[in-house]
Amino acid sequence: MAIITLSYRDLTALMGQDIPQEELLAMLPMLGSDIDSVDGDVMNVEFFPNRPDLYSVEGVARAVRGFIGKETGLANYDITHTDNVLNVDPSVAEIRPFIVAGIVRNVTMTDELIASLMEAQEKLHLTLGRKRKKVAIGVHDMSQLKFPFTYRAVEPKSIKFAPLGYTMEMDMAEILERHEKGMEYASVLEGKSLYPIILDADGKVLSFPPIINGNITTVTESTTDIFLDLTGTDLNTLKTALNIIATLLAERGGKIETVKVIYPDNELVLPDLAPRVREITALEVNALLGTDYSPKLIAEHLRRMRFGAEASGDKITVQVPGYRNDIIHNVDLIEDIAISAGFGNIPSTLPRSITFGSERPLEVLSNNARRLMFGHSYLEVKSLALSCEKEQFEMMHRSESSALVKIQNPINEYLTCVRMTLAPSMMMFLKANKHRDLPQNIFEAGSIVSGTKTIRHLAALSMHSKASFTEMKSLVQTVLRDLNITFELVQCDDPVYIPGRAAEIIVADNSIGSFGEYHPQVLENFELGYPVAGFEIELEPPQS
Amino acid sequence: MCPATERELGMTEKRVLIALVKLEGFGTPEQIQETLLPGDIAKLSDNLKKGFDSAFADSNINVSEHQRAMLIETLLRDCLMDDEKAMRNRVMETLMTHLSGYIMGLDVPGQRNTMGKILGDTVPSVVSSLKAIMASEDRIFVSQVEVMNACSWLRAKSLVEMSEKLEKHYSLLSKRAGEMDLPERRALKALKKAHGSMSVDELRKDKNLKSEEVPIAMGWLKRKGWVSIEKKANETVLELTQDGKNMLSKKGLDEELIERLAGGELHESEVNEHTIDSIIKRQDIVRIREEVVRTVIIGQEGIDLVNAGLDISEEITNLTPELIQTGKWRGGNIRRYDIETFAPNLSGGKSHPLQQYIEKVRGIFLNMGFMEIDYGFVQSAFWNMDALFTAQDHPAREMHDTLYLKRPGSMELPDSRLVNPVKRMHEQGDGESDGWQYAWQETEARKALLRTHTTVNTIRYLAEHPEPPVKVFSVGPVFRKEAVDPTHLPEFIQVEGIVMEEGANLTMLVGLLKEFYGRMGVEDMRIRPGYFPYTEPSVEPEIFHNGNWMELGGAGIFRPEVTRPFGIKHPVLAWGLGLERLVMTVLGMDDIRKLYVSDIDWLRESPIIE
Repeated sequence: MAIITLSYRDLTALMGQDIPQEELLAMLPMLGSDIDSVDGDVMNVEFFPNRPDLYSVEGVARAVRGFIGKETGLANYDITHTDNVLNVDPSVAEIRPFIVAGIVRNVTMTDELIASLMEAQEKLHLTLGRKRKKVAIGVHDMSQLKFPFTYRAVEPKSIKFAPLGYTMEMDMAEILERHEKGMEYASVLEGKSLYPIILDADGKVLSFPPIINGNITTVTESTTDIFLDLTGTDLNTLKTALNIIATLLAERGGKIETVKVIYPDNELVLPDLAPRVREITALEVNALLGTDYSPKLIAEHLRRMRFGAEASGDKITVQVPGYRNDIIHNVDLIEDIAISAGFGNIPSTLPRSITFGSERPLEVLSNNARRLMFGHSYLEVKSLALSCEKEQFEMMHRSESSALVKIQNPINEYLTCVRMTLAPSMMMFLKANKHRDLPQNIFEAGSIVSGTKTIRHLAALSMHSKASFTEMKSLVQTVLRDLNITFELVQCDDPVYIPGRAAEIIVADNSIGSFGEYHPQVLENFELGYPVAGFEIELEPPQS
Repeated sequence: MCPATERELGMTEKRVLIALVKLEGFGTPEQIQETLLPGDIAKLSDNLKKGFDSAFADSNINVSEHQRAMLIETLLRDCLMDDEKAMRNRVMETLMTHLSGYIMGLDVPGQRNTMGKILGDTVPSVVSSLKAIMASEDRIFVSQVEVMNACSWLRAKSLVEMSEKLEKHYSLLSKRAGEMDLPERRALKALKKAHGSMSVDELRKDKNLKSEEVPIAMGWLKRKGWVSIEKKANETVLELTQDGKNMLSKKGLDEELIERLAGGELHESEVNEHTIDSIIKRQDIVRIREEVVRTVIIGQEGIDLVNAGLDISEEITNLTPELIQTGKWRGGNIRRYDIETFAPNLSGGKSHPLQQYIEKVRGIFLNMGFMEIDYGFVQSAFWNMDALFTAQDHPAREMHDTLYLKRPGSMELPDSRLVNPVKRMHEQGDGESDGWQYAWQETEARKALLRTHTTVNTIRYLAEHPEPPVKVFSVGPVFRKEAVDPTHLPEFIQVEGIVMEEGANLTMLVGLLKEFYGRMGVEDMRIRPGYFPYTEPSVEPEIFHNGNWMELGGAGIFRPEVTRPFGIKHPVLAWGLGLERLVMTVLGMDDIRKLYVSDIDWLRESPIIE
């Protein structure tokens, strides 16, 4: 979830068009976002994870300009090629294999830009960057640096430098132990014997990615020339993120310059803003949307969504901007066409196939059982399927079953497994209601899991001063009779019940459950002061 | 205040008015009660008296009439029971409690005798009287409270007045006081023996008088004028007067009164004031009991009502089987009830509000021609995520979003004919799609987890049934690693429906959403762009509720990357929603947890969902 803070004034200034704030707030959701909150000029807007190019006010302005038709088609950014080099040492291959880089000059560091840049960087780290694991972005003031730069992996204690915000020099191991960012992101480098570092021609430290920049490249209000480095594990994602940040700065008037990133076996000239080309037909667009848009109209919608688009016959040739990585299939273009056309304008029709509704036989049985329980004045409760071993077994006097499904990463100590019976959570219900009027007759028809199988249970508890085996026997035999289930009873030695006051219910040689009077120790475990009788059975519809 | 009309009067009030007229205008509640239940209570009292007389015959114990009246009230209050055996036990208990003081005072053989008589004779006769009262149609009047309530009501309607007065009752302090002559009588008898004259010294020697009684006897002899007292030489001599001679053969007024008191308690109206005062002065003879007596006096309006003729013709209180079967009900009016009378609520069986919504949603899908499916809570990451084209490094797959399982730690993957196309789609796409461009790991897909959405049901069904048309739905719990707070639970009910047919498109999805939410009772629905990893286009439906647009659920068309690996050639329209949020909004709840560990009174009192 990326909630971006937008200043209304700043956004409209970047859009180059005044538009009432209410209108803007109504429009943004139709472009694909949720308004989280609005406080005067400040609008907090959640953009979807497939559109990281909207994680900045500059990116939003670019999109809105297209949406309102002020500026459509592919956004153009002038790029100057340079011979500035970043060498990639083979040592990083096993550590953090990829780096991309770029330069943006003539930047004016306004308060708005600093805030936007920081937020975009943070949100990209969190989403695309998977908490800096996949992508880490470094933004540097390059005035103190000298090309060529080198990206390499080194011994943790071999280089000392002052990290961002410090004048004191530390080695890389110390940074991971002591620096706040070092501690926060140390896990990304866990198990690595060498740490990545970016150095300039004089050995000055630009960055210890993905942890922290060097203090020497600190960006200030007077910074004008910016060097961008992005390191990580996926080259395509790195390129997209670089394009997002570089064009963000360019939207504020910055001039983009390329860097030659020289890998041992490859040379990249970056940023690479060249659009990718896709072809789409009006036929496939209209088939999926149920519309009859002409190729020309489709091209126009695409341009409004900031694609380059030219119609020719039924075909539209689409240029996908370099800052968008979400267009991996033509359906992604079709969605953008629908967004431009306006979701509110999509007409309503109905499917044509004739089908007949049918219930799961288990639900039919379950509902029959529920209706019978209502007839016996039992109140339905619902409880969570998540439970814990203590409730399921220890408090119930039972030993843990090997068919128990245990959670690897539980939320808390009370929700560590999936229940195998309904009664424990119903006991908890009685405990929560122990000051309410008696009798309390409750039931639940709910699912449990045994092994990997999800099984429907029906359970009932009756709490009052005379709750008894006989009462439960009457209930069980009546309900089973009405469900047309033939059964036999045998002694039950489940320790949850009082010995000699419980019976196992046998159907076709298999136990389907039991009933009886709950053991006083069990009642005490749930802090209950009155007798409780109950039953719990498995519901299984007859095989058809 | 305007007096009541006959219609406003209940049967009890009418009967009380009639009883008051019978009592010539006024009476105590007890008198009214006796008038209403004349035979039965009198008989009970009589049975008790006889029983006690016989039981205590051999002792000098006298159970006072007042004691008996109190006992009768207790019996009427506590011992009227349907079960005869229980009634018998209760009567026994009551009698023993009330009489224990008397019985303990007896010697052991006397106790045994008395107890035997009470248990053998008194209890059965009392039980039979109580049974008669039980059977009486006027049973309601056994409770004085009923009578008093009726009187209060009548007073509120100005039909009667009530006065309170303190009344005195007199009885002897001891039985002995009744058997022993007064000191002056004993002295008179001594004088008679001495032929009408004796000295004080001689009187002192009389063995029937204690020395401290001599001055008392002399004082009363003189006051009553039975003797003259003269000083002769150094002696004081008593001479019998004519009055004294006359009194030798008859009793004085005070003596007669004492005799009457020996027979039982007397009300102040039954005794001469001077006489009783003279006895009270002696200090050791009489006990005084004071009692607040309420008198109910009928007013003219009440008399007029009675004279005009109140209808009390066999009013039926309880319509018994006998009345119906014999046809006797025809003869009487069935008593009217006060419809405002308190009646408690019942606590019956009822469906949980969340389950009611589940059934409502199921009904809508079934009516719209959808088939219900489910594949269980425990799933592999393959079905829950990979099959839905969710990349293996997608944040939703991380440990802080999804509940993975320690046991079973991993699951079998389906046939490689299903797995391989999915793997290929993730890694390199299919020509139309670029795929995610990464190395897909089978170990990651094998991980066992608790399903995070019901879409896992959908894709499993579609993999088994790739040919159109398919219209299926599922409703059930899904699990997410969410901290428990008023708006979040790690488990919630998700609803999902899909339509797969040739030529399915976005306009049909809009139509389905409108139909579905319309049937859910939503006033209006609109859609706007959304995002879900496995649909494109993705749609967020918003419903109009209480004057606001509210986001509810999600919808979209499955990405071809999801459907193609399973050989599904046509678009799949899908939508779903979480039920709890809807239920909370409709019921105005502020804490989702209340749905699962509910207050039982909330469940009892919640109306059925429309």
